[in-house]
Amino acid sequence: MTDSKRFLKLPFWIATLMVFPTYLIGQKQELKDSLDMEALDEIIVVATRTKRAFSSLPLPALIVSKKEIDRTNSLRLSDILDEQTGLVMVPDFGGVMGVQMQGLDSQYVSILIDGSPLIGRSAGTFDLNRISVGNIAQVEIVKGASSSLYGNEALAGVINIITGFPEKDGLGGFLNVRAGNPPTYHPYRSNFGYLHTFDVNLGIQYKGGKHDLIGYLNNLSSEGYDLNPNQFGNTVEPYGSTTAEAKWRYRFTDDSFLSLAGRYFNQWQSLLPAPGLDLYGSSITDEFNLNAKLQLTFSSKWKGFFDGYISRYLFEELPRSEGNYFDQNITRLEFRSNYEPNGDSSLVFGTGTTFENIERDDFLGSPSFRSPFVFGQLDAQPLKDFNLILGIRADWHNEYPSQISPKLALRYDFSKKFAIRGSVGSGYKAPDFRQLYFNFSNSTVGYSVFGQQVVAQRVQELEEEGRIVRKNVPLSEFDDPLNAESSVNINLGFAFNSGNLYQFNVNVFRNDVKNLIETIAVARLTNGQQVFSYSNLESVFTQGLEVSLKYYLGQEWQFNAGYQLLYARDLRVKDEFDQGQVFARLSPSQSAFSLTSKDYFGLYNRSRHTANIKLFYVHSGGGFDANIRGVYRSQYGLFDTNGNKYLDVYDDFVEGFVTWDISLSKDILRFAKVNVGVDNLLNYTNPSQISSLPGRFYYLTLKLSI
Amino acid sequence: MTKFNFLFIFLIGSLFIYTNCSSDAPADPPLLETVTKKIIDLHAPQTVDRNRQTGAPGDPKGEFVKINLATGQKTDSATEWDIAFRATTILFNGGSVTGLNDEPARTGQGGAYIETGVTFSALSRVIETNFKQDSSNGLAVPTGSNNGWYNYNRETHLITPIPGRTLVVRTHDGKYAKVEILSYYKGAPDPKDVKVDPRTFQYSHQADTYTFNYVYQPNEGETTF
Repeated sequence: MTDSKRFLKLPFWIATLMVFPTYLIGQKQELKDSLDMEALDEIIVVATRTKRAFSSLPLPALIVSKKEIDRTNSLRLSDILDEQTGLVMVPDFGGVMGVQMQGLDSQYVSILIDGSPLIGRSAGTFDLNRISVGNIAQVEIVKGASSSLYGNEALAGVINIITGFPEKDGLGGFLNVRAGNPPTYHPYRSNFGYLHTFDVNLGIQYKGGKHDLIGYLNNLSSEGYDLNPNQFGNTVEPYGSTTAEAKWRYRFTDDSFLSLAGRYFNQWQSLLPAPGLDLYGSSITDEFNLNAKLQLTFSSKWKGFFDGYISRYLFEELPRSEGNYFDQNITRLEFRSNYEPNGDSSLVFGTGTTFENIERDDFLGSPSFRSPFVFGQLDAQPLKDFNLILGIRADWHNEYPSQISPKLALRYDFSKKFAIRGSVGSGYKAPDFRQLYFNFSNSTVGYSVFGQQVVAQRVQELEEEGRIVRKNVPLSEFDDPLNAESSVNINLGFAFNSGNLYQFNVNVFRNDVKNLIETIAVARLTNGQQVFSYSNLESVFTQGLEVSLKYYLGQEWQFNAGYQLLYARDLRVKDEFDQGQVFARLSPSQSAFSLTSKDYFGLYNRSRHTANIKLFYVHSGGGFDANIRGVYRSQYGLFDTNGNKYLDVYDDFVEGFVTWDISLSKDILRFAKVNVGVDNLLNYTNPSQISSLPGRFYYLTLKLSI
Repeated sequence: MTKFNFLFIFLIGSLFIYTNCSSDAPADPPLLETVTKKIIDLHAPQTVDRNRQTGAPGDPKGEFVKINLATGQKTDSATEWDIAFRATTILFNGGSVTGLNDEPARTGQGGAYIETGVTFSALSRVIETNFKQDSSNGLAVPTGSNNGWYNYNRETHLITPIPGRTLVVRTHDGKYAKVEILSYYKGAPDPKDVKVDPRTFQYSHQADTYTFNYVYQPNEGETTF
């Protein structure tokens, strides 16, 4: 008790863990609404877990500002991330949209909200459509392995969503209403009249005395769309979602506070399982997060952070049948302290424990994980113009071997305009619950999939029932625990920054990932089908080059362009090609011929080239802005089509494509703004291969704010 | 035609020479030419009964479609068949009972193995020690994706013959053949043209329908193609 009283009296000298819009907007107010200088004062938190000037960071990172989110009229996080250099949106089963970073899948990207991990993944993919961007203050992205700070999942990188606090005193609020309607819509059932999508954002905020309050509500509903009217059902069935958030902060002093944030998300989608079956239903997702943070400033150099986080993710299909119930819970407690002896160096130390459990159909029991962790990081300036970050983290786990994840990052500024930077780090992804505890038998086809912890027991049972013909793998192979998938990541690049004219960044990256967990066929059943399980098998690498340019043309125009070159390959497969062991045939009427490693295209769903180009205009007098944005993805393969298991140049590819979006906004009253836009202006669709891309989409938004 | 005539004259001629020089050591009988054939759209379906309560599939059933490689024809003969098909399962006329429903009795000396890493045309020699026979321990050519002759794609639900895999076959009467399976769908369509409704499993092209090339070596004991 006396301790906490003493804390209250302690002085402060620096703001909070989170990046507050207060800080950013305060810096920018003199510039009114013009575009220039926007990036210069940005602060990034996720890279070092301290407030860090973005412009001097030794790591490849990206900030998406609230302004950019507003101007592009994005609704969901996937909309805005799709336009960022080096991030590729990859649709997965069930209409979920994951992010690919440095050529690595969504399952290797940690998604955080105010520094705490969001959970609920569908076969590893985190669905970015779940995140409404209406109240996001900033999105921070660090590319490359970041397990030295974030542990599990941060193998390819980290995306941190920052929800802000009110910037001005008193009461404020906004209401955005948007309606849209694409012409390709093919209704079979109408829930919302003639409107195709309808999105409402309502925000209220209050700042007064020592209290900060924020409330936010988003509702999105859509009729879905149909790209193949001849096929049964819609390409995307009608869906809707609601996001509700509430946040309260009590400031003991300007630099010590207690905050509580709650978030609820609900999503439903119609389900039509098969023609002729009277089984209309829906899939339902519910998600709850509760985040409590206590920040205490002990002295001008010491601060302490206590975080408590609880999250629950529920998914079910109704009417309920086999295999569609999923209930995941995570609780995380963390203590962190920052020591900042002077303005340009910091020492971070943190420790905590994560508890996780899951209940799911097709699982043996309801498993739980417990993983304590400890991490430390030094961010120092040993020489003038030379910055060094050294970090290390240890994670223990009750189900798989413990992990040590170090990282080193260096930056040297040759001048105010030119700097080189490089980093080496390791990342890991733990085996997930499915890979350990899955106990699934497909009743239509007759195969079975068992997690590594389950397989020995289940195969033995099947053997006793006389259903096993032959075992391909001795069951003793499953005595050793699955290892975490782990990587070594290297980045090397330079930044050229000419103040308010242009910024030019180049980064070369390489990720070597080993112990990838793959399915293996364990045994053959009497019905001719197989029993599958999981094992550490493959090693892959991804490497590439990333270039981005931001160019200011006077006060009113800004031009952005970005490009990524990517090679992603499996090393064992490459060897097979090298040895002439892989074959293809040009058509089923011709004999097969041998391929060489030149014919190996690489991993699935990777485009060799991706690019974006954006032009923003903001009228210097205010009151009007406009932009056009193009996103390009070169050809990629979804799966093997010619039977040799691998993606070679003779397979069928999804052809490369560009989508263009435009948006225009005009102030109509002091507190009102009208915005019109067209997404997918050229109406590019590929119904058989890209179900996530509806045709041209018009929308109109009315934005009110006080 | 000219080849046949030449062969005919040659055979008659050699008979003549043989009968006239019977006192000499007999010359090797001339070799018959290898036979290259293509079997098109051989339909070999199976039936799977489902448990009425759970919908779980039972073990597959149905007649196997048997082929005699010397004639290149379907056969109902209980003994003079070499290779038998039912859905993705392929049996050979040798070995012992495997336990499959409706499997034909094996009466010959047949067997098979899968040759990898070489194209069909470049496969020139049979390695006799590689042969396996069907038995209760497994099939000479196993089923299952990537185990034997095909891959099953879980995204497209298509069976695709693995390019570069050749079945080397010993016939019921101990002769050799090599088989390259080209397609599992009627009309040997390009895989990208085969559409499957994932909810009903209706295929745009009839499945269980084999198209394959084979080369048959009619000379006994001859191990080259």
